[in-house]
Amino acid sequence: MFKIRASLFLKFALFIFVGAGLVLFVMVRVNSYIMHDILLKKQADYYTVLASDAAHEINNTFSKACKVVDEAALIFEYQPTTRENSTALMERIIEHDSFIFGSAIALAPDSDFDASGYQILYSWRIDNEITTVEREAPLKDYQSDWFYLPQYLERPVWCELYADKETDEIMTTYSVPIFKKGKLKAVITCDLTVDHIENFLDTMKIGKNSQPILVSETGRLIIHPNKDWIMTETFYSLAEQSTLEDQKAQLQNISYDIIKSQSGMHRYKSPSADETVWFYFNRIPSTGWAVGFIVPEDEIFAPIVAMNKKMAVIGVLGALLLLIPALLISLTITRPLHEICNATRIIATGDFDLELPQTKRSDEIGQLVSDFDKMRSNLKEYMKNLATTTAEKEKISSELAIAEEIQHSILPKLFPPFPKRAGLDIFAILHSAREVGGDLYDFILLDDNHLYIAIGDVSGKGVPASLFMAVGKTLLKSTIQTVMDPAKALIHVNNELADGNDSCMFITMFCGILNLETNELIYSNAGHNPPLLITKDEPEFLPDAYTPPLAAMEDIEFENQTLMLGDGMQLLLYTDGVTEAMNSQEVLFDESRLVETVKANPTKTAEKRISTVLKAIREFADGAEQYDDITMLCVSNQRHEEYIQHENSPSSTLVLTNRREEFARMVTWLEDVAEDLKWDTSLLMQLNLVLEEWIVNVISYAFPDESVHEIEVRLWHKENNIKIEIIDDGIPFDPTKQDAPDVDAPLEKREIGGLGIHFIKESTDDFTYERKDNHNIVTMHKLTTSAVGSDT
Amino acid sequence: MRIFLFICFIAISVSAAQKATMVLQWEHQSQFAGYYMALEKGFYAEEDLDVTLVRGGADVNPLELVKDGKADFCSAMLMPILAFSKDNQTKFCLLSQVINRSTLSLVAWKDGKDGYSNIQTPSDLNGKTITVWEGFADPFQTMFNKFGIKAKIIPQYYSFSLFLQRGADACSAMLYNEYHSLLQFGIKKDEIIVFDFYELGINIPEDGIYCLKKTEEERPDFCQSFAQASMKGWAYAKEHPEETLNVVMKYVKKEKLPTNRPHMKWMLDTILGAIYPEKEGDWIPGKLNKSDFNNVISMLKIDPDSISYEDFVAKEAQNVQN
Repeated sequence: MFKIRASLFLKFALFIFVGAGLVLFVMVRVNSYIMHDILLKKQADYYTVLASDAAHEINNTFSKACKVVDEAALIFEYQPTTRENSTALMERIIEHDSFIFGSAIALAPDSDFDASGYQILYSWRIDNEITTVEREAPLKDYQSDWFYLPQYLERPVWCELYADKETDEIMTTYSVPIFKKGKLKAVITCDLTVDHIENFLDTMKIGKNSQPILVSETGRLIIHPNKDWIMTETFYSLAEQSTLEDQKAQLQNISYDIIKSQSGMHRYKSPSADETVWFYFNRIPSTGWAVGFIVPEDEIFAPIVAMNKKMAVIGVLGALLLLIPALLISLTITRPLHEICNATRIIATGDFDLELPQTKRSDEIGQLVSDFDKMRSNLKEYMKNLATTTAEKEKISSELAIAEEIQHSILPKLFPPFPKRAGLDIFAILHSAREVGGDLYDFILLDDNHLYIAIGDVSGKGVPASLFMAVGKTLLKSTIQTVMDPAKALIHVNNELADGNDSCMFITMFCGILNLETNELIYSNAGHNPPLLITKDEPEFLPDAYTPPLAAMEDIEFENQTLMLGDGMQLLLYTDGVTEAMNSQEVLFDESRLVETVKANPTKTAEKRISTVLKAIREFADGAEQYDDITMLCVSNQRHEEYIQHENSPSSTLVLTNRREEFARMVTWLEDVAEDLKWDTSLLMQLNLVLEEWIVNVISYAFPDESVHEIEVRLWHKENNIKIEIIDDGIPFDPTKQDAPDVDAPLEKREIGGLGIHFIKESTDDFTYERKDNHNIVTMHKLTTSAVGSDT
Repeated sequence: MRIFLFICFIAISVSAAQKATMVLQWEHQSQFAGYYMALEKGFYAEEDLDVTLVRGGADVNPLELVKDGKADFCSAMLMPILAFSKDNQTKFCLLSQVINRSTLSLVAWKDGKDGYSNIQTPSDLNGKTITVWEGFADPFQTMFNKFGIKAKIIPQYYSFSLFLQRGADACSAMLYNEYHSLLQFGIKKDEIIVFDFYELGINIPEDGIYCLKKTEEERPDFCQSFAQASMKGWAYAKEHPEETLNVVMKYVKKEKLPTNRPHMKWMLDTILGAIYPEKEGDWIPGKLNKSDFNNVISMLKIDPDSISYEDFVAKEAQNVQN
C-alpha cells in the first residue's frame, strides 16, 4: 500500500518539479533575452551620451586654450615682434589656464632676427613661475611638427601627443601659423598637459568597473586602465599581439573605426583581462582624439544574473510548496484505488457478492468505483446465465450423441461383409454431420444368390430423424426379406410409415436386389438421388424415378427397374450430403464434380471408389463444416468365368484394398479358384501361405500414407504351370534383392519380412520382381505334378 | 698576498679590454638588434672589446661624434655618409655593409576618398605633393626621373603627420618603420600603396658600420674584431628572433619610447630580411656591392676620382665570402 502511494507521490512530485523547472527555465531564458537587449540598449544610450558629453567638455576646455592662442596670434600679427612683446604674449597664454604648461613663438626662418632680437622663444611654467628662454637649436624646431605642420597645412594644428621627457607628462601642442601677405611670419603655440582630462573623466565614469579611455589622432592609447600601454600601444598593435582570431578581428575593427568615425560602440574580448567588454567612444572635434569608456559586459548584465538568482530561489520554493497539494492529491487518489485493488483480489477468487466501499465522490475515482461495482454485478449475472446455458448445451449435445449412436448402431459396419464371396465387393460409409441427419444405408444377403442394397435419407435432423430412419430401415429390411421385391417393399413400407405420420417426416429411399449369379439388379427408387453406374471408370446416372419419398402420403405406386451390373461395373449409391456438400463460399459439390472425381480416379475396388470421392469432397469443402450426413455405398460383383475369354487372360483376378480384413476375401478367392481348377489341398495350402506372406507384407509396409490402395492378384493355370502376379502401387521394394536371412539367428535379430520372402522363394519354382509405371509387380511360378486346369 | 695579486691580475686583464663606443643612428629599436645581441651574448667581450652603445636620435648626429673622436664607430646609411664625407672632407671607412637591400619606399594614399588622391601606379604621383626626407632627395629624384614624375616636394623630417593630415599625397617611408606605423595607426592596407624602391630597381645600400679611415689604418684589428663581433650579433638575432625581441624591448622600455612589441617585431623581421638575402646570391651579407657603390656615387654626383671603392671599404669587407 505504501509502495503504491509512494510511487504515485514520487511521480506527482517529479512532474511538478520538472514542470515547474521547465517553466522557470523558459521564464529565465526569455527574461534574460529581453533584459539582455534592454540593458544593452540602455547602456549604449547612456554611454554614448556620456562619451559625447566628455568629448564636448574636453573640446570646450581645449577651445578656451585655442582661443587664447588664436587671439595672441592676432595680436602678434599687429604688434612689433620685439622679444618683450612676445614674452608678454606667451606669459598671457600660460597664465590663462592651469593646464597650459608652456608656449612658444617661432619666427619664420627667413625673418629678420636681429630686428626682433630673437629667433624662437619658449616660456614654461616652473613652480608657478614662468621662465622664458631662447631655443638653442632652432633648425630642429623648424623641422618639428609644431612648426612644420602649421607651416605647410597653413592652419592651426593640434600636434600629436608626446611624453615630455623632463616632466614625464603627456602633452600636446596647439600651433597657430601667422601669415602676413601670404607669407609665413611666425608660429605661436601653447603646450597643454592632458592629466587633467584623466581626472575629469574619472569624475564622469559610473559603475564600479567602467574605465575612461583616450585615444590620440593616430590611434595611440593615451588614457587606458592598462598603464603599460599608454603612449605605446594602439588597438592595431594589440590586435597584432592577439592569438585569438575573433579578438584579433574585433581589435582591428576598432583600430579602423576609432580614427575615422565620430562615435562608435564595440564589443570585444579584453586583451588585458579575461572578460568581454563594451567600448563606447566619441570624437573630440578640435583635436581629433577619441574619448570613451570601456564597460565589462558582466557589469552590464549583472542585474540579469541577480534577477535570475532570485527567480530560481522563488521557483524552487514554489515547487516545494506545490509538493503539499501533490501529496494530498496522491493520498486521496490512492486510498480508494487501494480499496478497489483489494476488492479485485477477492472478486478474482470468485466471490461476486462482495460489497464495494461506497463513495460519494463524483470525480473519476468515484466513477471508477461505481463502474467497478457495475462490472461486478454484471459479471455475477453473466456467470449465472453461463451456468444455465452450459447446462442446456450439455443436454443438446448428449441428445445429438444419442441420435448419432442410434444412426450408427443399426448400420452394417463390418467390411468385407461377405468374405466368403470373393467376387462381391461392397463398401459403404456414413459420416454424420454435427447435427445428425437421418441418412441410412443397408445391405444383406437375402439368400445365396441375392444381395439386398439400400440407401436413404430422412427429412429433418437430430433424434427424431434418427429414430424415423431406424424405423424405416428396419421396416424395409424385414419387408424385403418377405416380399423379395423392391417396389412392393417400398409400397408396403410407405403405407406403414405414412399411416399416422403426425410429424410429417419422410424418407427418400433407393433399394435393390442384385442377383449374384446373373448380375441382374432389380431396383426401385422413392424420391432418392439417382445412383451412378460406373462402367470401367465411366460414370452414368441412372434415370430419375420422379417418385415421391416414403411416408409422404399413402398408396403410392413404386415400380421396379432392372439393370445388368456386369463384371468391372460398379454401382455407387449416395445421399444429397455428397452432391450438396458446401465449401466456405457456399458453392455445392454437385453431380458434375462427382462425375469428374469418378472419372479422374480409376479403381477396381468399392472402398477405393468411396475413399477417392470422400477425399475430393474434403478437399473441396476445405475445412468448411457440413450440415448434412455424407453417405455412400458402392457395390460390384465379379464372376470368374468371364475372365477366361482369351488365351492370355488370367484364369482369375482379385482386387483387394490395403486393409487386413480384406485378407479373408483373398483366402475365399483362392479356395474358389482351387475348387474350379481342381487343385489338391496341399497345393492350395502352399499357395495360400505364399500369397498370405506376400500380401501381408505389402499391406503392412508398402503404404506409408493413410489412403486406400489396391492390390491386384492375377492367376493363370496352364498345364502344370501356375503363374501368379501381385501388383501394388506402394513404395518400391524388390524382394529378390533381399539377402537370404540368417535362419540360425535368434528371432529378435532377424529382419522383418526376411523370413517370409525366404519362405516364398523356397515354396515357388520362380520368383521375379519388376517395377513398372510406379507399381511393384511380383511374379511367382509354381509347377504342379499333374496337368490340370482350364485347358482340360 | 697571492690572492691579492691574483685579483689584481684579473682586474688588469679585465681592464685590458679595449674600450669601444658605437653610436647608433637613431633611438633604440630593432634596427640595431645585432649590436644589442653582440653585447648581450658577449661576442664583443670574446674579442676583448668593452663596447658602449650610444643611442642616436633627432638630437644626435653620429657622424659628428665619430668625426670629433667622441665615438669609435657608428651605424650609418651609405648615402648620408658619402654626402657628409664630401661636405666635411672627412674620410670614413666602411667596416661592414650590414643592410644591402634598400628598404626605402614611398607610401601614397590610394583610397581616393573624400576628394583625396587615388594613386595606383608610380606615374599617378605626377603633379602630387610628396614629402621627402632631405637625405634621400637624390634617390627620390632618380625614381621621379625614371617614371617622369613632376611633383611638389615638401621636406619631411621626423614625423609623417603632414601625410596623415592629408597635407601630402605621398611620403617617404622605411619599410621596416613608417609603413608599419601607418598600419598601427589604424590605416587599412587597402587605403595606401607602397612603392618599394628595391623592387622598382633603385637599390641604395643602407646601414653599415663605419669608423674614421684613420682609425681603420691605425687599429685595423680593433676595427675588424668589432665589425665581426657585430655581424655575429646579427647572425644570432636571425637565429633567435624572440630572444632578440625581448632584448630590444628592454632597451625600448628603458628609454620609454612610444613604440610597442609588434612594431619592433615587424622592424626586426624586415631588417633581417634586408641583411640576409632570401635567395642566395642576391647579395653577400656584410659586403658592399661595388656597382651599388658606384651607383650611389653617381647619384650623389660625387667626383669618382675623389673617392674609390677600395679606399672607402675596408679590405676585409671587400672580400667577404658567403
